[in-house]
Amino acid sequence: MCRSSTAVLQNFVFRICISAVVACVETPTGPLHVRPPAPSRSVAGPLGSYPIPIAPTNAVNGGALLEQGTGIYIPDNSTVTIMVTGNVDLAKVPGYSGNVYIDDAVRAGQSIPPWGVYDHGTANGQLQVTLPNAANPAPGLDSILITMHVNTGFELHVARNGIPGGQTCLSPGGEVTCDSLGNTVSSFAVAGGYKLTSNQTITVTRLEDDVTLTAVVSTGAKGRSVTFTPHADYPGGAMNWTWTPDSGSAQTAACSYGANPCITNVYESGWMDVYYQINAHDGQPAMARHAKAHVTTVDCPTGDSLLDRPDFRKLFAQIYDSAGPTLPFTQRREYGGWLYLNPNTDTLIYKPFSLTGATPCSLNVTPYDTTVSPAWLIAIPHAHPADTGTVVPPGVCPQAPLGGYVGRGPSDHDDALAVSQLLPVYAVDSKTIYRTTGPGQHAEWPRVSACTIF
Amino acid sequence: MPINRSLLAIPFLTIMCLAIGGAFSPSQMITSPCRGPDSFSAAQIAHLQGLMVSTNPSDSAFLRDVHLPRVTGSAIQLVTTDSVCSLVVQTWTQVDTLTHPPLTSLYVIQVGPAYDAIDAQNSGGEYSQHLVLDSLFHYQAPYLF
Repeated sequence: MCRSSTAVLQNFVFRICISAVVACVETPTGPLHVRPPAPSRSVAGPLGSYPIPIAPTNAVNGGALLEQGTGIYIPDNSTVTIMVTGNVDLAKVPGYSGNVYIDDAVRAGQSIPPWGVYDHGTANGQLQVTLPNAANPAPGLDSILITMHVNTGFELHVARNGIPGGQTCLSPGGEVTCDSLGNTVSSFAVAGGYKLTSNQTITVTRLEDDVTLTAVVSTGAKGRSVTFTPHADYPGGAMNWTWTPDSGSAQTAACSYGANPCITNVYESGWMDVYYQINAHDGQPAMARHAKAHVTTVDCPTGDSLLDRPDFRKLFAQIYDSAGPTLPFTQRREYGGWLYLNPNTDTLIYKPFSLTGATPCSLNVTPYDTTVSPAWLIAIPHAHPADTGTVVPPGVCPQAPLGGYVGRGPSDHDDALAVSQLLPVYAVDSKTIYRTTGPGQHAEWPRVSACTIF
Repeated sequence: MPINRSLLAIPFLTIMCLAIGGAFSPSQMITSPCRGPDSFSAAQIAHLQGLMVSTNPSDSAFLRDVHLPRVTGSAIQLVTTDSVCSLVVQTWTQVDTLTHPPLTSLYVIQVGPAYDAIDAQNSGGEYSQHLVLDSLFHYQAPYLF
């Protein structure tokens, strides 16, 4: 007698596996002049599509498509829809009868879950999607649409198993034992099952974030209070807040559920994430969206938005070192250049002046680098390898042949350069950092005090 | 004491030559040894006035090193009297044998009893050359700012 008298297809599973490859790029914030914090707004548009082929071993009893890259890269901090389209044409094996039931089925057009962060970002990370419940599988199953937010970008990978057929063990006159494949025992035969007969296409589209998050003040001292405010195009409310430090453990506490704005003391650089529920509107269902903002903490905050950027501090230290401050005086050279800020990426671009003609006490201000937009110019940093109080020997500095004591920066020429270029001029010597925007408009900070700028 | 006519003739001829030369060669006109007020001199005066009220120890050391007296801001003024500037230029050219041709005009800033002379003609880098003179126009110290 057969163990099962009905043809039951017990495992009808169609899976799309999505795994992740980590891609994380930090873009520091904190421009030179006080300007609104850059919101994390995405740009909508298609990210790509990929035809999911039929597995080479596609058959009634299985067949798998090993995980493979699609070439579709989902960027950091993006909200995307992943749609699987195309008919899942299934060929019914003669002799099959009965229904197919799939647990945890996802119906077409439904976003699963309404909000949330999926497991991804690791080689083993996987998002599993099953086909809609289909009582009677037939050609033309619904497509699947998933809306999800991605914190850390990755390449979309796909894989799927085959669709094993059901087996009916035939027993003309007594007990039989069927193995898992149903084809090694002569007393039964395959009685039902399906196999794929057409491709599908997976398409990923990035949605325009309609929630942004701003942080005020985004750059400053450790432990300062920062106000995070979400902004949305439609009515709704903040939900979960999450703090992720750039490195190490977090001392900063995220705000409680529903806080708006979120005001918290920030003790280390990192990202604040908010999930924000946008109420149903214009026929659109309620949906959670996500936004994040980066906050930077520095030692020895100066209040100068450029000098409080870690990347500028690192660059300025390199500029100073490039001037050869430890070399014999006659071998030192003032070193500096044009500093640009790419407003799209919030990254600094430094174009050094030519060293031709530079001396320990003079700088050859060369023309703008035309490869970078002049509109992106934000400052002129340079190094003074001649410290305040240093005695310059005669004949070393062409414009000051008698030499003498070096006055405290910024020099009158720094003032003039700032005025002529309408840019702040930053100077640094071994002990002090100076900023001038013109005569009498100076600020200075000791490089090392109770704390260290650089 | 009789007047030596030859001595009278020399300044007369000098004046005539200068006048004629000036008429035909504007570039060699006699110019004032005093550089007049402008944004540069204003910035220098502002800087000196800042030094005087600074509490930064390095500024105090600097004033001491370059022999500039600490005075009130009102005691810092641009000199526009040619006779004074001429004496400053004279001292400068005695000290500075490296600048060719020798300077003929300077910014001269009176700092109390002292003078701060600045060569702005040859500035092309980070700093300008300064010389500090005492009240008797004796050279005291050079500095760069």
